[in-house]
Amino acid sequence: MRFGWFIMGTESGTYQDILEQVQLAEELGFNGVWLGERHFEHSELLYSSPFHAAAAMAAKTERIRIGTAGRILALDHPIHIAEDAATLDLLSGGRLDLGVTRAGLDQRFHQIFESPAEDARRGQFEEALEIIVKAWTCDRFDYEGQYYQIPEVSVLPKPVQKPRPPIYLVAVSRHTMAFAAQKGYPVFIGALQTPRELKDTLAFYWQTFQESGHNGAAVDLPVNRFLYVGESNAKAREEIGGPFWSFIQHKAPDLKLALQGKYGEKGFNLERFLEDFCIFGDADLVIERIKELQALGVTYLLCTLNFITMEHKFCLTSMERFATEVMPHFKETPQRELLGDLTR
Amino acid sequence: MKIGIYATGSGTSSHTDLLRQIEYAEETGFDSAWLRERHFHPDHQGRNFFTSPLVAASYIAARTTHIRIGIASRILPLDHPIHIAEDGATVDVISNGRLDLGIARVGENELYQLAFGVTTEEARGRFEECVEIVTKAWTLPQFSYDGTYYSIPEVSVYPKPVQKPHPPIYLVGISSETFKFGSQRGFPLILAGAQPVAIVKRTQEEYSRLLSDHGFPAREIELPVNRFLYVADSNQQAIDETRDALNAFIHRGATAIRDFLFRAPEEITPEWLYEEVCIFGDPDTCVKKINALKQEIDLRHIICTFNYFTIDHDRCQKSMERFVKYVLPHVR
Repeated sequence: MRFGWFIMGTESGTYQDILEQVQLAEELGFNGVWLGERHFEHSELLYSSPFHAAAAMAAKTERIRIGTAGRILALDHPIHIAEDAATLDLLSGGRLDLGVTRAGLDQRFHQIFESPAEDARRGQFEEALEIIVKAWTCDRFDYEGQYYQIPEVSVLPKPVQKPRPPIYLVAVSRHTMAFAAQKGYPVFIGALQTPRELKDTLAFYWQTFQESGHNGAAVDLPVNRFLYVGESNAKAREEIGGPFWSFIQHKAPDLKLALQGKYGEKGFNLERFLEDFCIFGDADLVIERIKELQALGVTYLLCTLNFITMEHKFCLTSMERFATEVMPHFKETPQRELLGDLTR
Repeated sequence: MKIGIYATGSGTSSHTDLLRQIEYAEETGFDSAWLRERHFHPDHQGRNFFTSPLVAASYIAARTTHIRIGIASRILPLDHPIHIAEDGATVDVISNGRLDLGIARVGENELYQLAFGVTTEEARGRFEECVEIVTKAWTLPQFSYDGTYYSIPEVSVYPKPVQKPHPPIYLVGISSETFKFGSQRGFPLILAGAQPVAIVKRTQEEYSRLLSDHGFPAREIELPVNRFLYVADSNQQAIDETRDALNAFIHRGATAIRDFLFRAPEEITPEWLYEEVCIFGDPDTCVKKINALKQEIDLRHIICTFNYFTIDHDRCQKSMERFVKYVLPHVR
């Protein structure tokens, strides 16, 4: 099992806090940190410019991998994304994981950055992805698409990782999941899936992956979980229940909507969330829950440890408990090789 | 006098060379380090950060504590103004208020516009609207914008920069429309490294007059001047070690930036560059040249280019060391 950290930041926090948390994450043995992309009122701290924040993290660390989860492709020109990401790969000495997504948290992102209408977004996303891979792996290329026309160019710098940095897709819909599996891209699996759903999702992904001619279970699929390690189960819930509730209500409109749709009025409560997808408790409970995930075939746990509304100090103690009391119970699996065709 | 380094890089210098030069500049008391934006460029062995100067600036900000970090310059029409505002503010936050944002309308060649899907005709309009949007995004809690090229419904943009009211914006350009646009807003102009002294002088005077015409205290606005430097042990060594670089400049660089030279191509010779443009020589000669320059033009902020064309990192490093030890104490 390997552990990553989907690093959000805390409401009262600063970039300095985040940089400290990343340095601590490296010391504690996390495999990677991952940054989301948000804009406007959603982004007072986190991360309207994830590559730029990531560059500062790269400067402060030596080993930990640094990823986006994910950059919203529709909001930026794919050549910029290829260039910025390659620059980051260069500056970090080959530690970039590029996670990308088709849709942002809020429709206004797309409206303001003038990305195409929703029905055209899938096509544009697929073109952008192709251009990024070409920019990274081809000496020169040109591109004649429906959304992008690019005369022959040689995009530099090339990334340090060869043939290219891994690309992950944020996949919510089955359609995107299937697209990713067919192309051999690993996907992130969102924080709200119950163990049963998770099992189905993993089975669907791997089946599609193999049917598309890829070579076995080659990649880790990061599974996201909200996680907090307290002194006791009661303490954990007391310390984090409130902030988590306030996060869902006020800071995560996409999650709130998804949860309302999924649980209805009646099931929309912390008890259910704790049962289904939140891992809040003492070290023993957290270990047990992670073992359950492991049994489902999860190999990479992407922990959300600092969701906006919690305090920096709670985050630090929870992290330290996680590293000292939980992580030693899981053997680190070696980084898997990506076996898909990386020029796609 | 403020001293800056323009981290342009030679044909062979890698990103780590440039980072070392910038760290050395901070250690030895330079005031500013400037990065350029360049796309599709095969130099630097394809291993440098010029495509993404604000990403690099963020990295440099986390590695340094007090040197100011300038961009000279971001080519505004190639990116969405909200991205420029967000990226710039992020660097300002990470650097704790050390960003200087230089802006330009066009890059080195037409391919930039073609590849990023911007027409040359709309570049000026996009440039001007972008500056307005970036300034609003940085200074207003919320705003909306209705322009020819950008239409933005009411929005709040974060993060806000640390510097108030906002990070300084510097202008890079040569056209009279650009001068008019920049001087109306009180932006300092950065003078290009390849310009002969007489042109620098004329341009500074003209631009200062424009600033005054628009009601800005021109005397208080420093107009940084970029210069090529090479400090050797002797004048002969300086000439010998820069000859290839000057020839490379004439045959490659000068074609790309001929507009800045105001000179017929056949008149651009190594001798002419050595006399009129470059500060090359032994420490004594460089001190004299810089002090003479201070008499002629506004040289309150000199941005030195040490690493260019065929001047590789090792020679650059030695030249910088001589500059710090033997020149700097006599010109500051």
